[in-house]
Amino acid sequence: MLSKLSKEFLRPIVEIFTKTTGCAILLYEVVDTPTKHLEETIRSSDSSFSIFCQGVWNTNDGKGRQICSDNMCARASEVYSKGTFSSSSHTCHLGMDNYAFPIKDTKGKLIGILLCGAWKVADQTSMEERLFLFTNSIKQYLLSESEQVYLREALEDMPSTPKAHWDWVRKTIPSLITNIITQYIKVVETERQAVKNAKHHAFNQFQSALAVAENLSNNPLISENPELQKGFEFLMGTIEASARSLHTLTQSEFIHSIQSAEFAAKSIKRVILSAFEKNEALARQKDIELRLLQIANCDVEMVEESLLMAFDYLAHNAVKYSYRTAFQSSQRHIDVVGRKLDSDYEITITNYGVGIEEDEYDKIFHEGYRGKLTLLEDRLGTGHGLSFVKKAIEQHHGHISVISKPVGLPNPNKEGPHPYKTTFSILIPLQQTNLDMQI
Amino acid sequence: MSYQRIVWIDDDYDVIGPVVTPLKNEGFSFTVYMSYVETEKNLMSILDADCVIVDLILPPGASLNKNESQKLKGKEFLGLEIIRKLKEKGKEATPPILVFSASDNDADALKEFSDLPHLAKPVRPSELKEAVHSLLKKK
Repeated sequence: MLSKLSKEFLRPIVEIFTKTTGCAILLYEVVDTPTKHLEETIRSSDSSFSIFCQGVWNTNDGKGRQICSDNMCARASEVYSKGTFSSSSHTCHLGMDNYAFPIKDTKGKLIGILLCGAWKVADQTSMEERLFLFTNSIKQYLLSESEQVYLREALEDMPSTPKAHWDWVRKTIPSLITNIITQYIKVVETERQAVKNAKHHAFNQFQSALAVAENLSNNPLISENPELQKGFEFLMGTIEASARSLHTLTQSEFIHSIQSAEFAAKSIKRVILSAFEKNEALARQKDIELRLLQIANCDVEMVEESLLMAFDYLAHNAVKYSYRTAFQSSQRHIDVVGRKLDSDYEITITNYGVGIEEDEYDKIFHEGYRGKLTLLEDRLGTGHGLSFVKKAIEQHHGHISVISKPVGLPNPNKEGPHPYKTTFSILIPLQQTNLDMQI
Repeated sequence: MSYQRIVWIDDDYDVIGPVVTPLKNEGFSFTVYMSYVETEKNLMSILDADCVIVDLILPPGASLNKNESQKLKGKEFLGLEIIRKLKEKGKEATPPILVFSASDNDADALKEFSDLPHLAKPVRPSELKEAVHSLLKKK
């Protein structure tokens, strides 16, 4: 998936490109869900499309726009399903010329499709001027010397006659843009991998230090000396705290990236369904039914990636902490309800299993906190998930709370002493407009 | 004294040494595999272990042939591939698996096997000992 950073980088290029060449762009990316699908990531503004296209879109109550969107998506899907890396040209249902360019990542995986075309440049003779404007504007975004050389060479090959020039523009510029995107993705991925390796190495160092410290503290020479023992306990606490800080730092970088993302009105139902779909396999393994019976559909202004991840955590926790061998069949399910209220959307998620004690209703959302009952049952985890969920909900100026009460009889199976009915309730305003966007 | 065998799949031998001391003192023996290729070659022997500890991040290994290399292209968590193979081959008789990951972020990659217990580094040797005992108790 393209990162927020990539989108920030690509958006101005798309704008410059469409302004200078008159060629509209649509970027579809492959979304890595179990049922892989394409999603529109970036699109040139409406005014970048031909007057003809805009005219069609404004007819029949927007049905014309829908037909165009479906057509473009179908074109991208066709390129994606072929799985090849060659570009293709096509004429759309309205007779406009379009090109499709596959985009791959550094590992050769197809990650997106760039559609380009729907030409609207009337004065072809001014094209050269426009192109120079574009290439000069885009220089600041070029990533390497070799990329600039590529661009210079491409421009040197530019034919002089208007007709040939026009053909050159249609062939060269879209592939140039694809090239820039691919190069950029390469850089971002290399950086991301370097950070990941460094993090892996750092956690290994913390691991070794902590293990050596505890082993030493168990040596009779130290364990029998209260002062030394205290010193070692302090040392171990410091190592653990440092590791937590590193975790928080890496986590907060990610949170920052999604917190600075733009809000857009999207279907909340689709996000909820998608989050629970990701956890279906685990639920099946545990013989737990996911009951998404009443999920009202409406648009909510959101940062989709952030809410999707939050609901994914909640869905995952609901399944993870449900008893696999619930002794009453009526308790082997998770209920999800989504309701549209006046100005908010309310989601409740209820499961039966390991509970949360009343004095922990707030603490459970603190970074690194792990519920007493989960620890009692030897459930492993790290206590970061719900802290993220709270941050994501607050990013949307919403509210999350939990209620957990023992229900039914004690579980005769070894998995838990007593099932709890746990309900997480989330309220998210339908619109973020007029709310303070900074948290 | 216990005489059970634990297989640990992790590329960093230095990490394993100190953290297993209490378990070794109890008589547990450890076999360590440090790459995907090495682990894959020894799958049958691993299925005989009493418990398997897997780090999600695992190097492919030097002797990877072209076909295998192509298959693993783009797969970030080779530890996951190993878990998949163990479950495929071992079916019901797969030894209990404990995931030992660098951080909770890696747990996102574990969605497919998210009922597996996991520990995020760093853990105290005493915590690991408890986790292994708890896993063996459930066996």
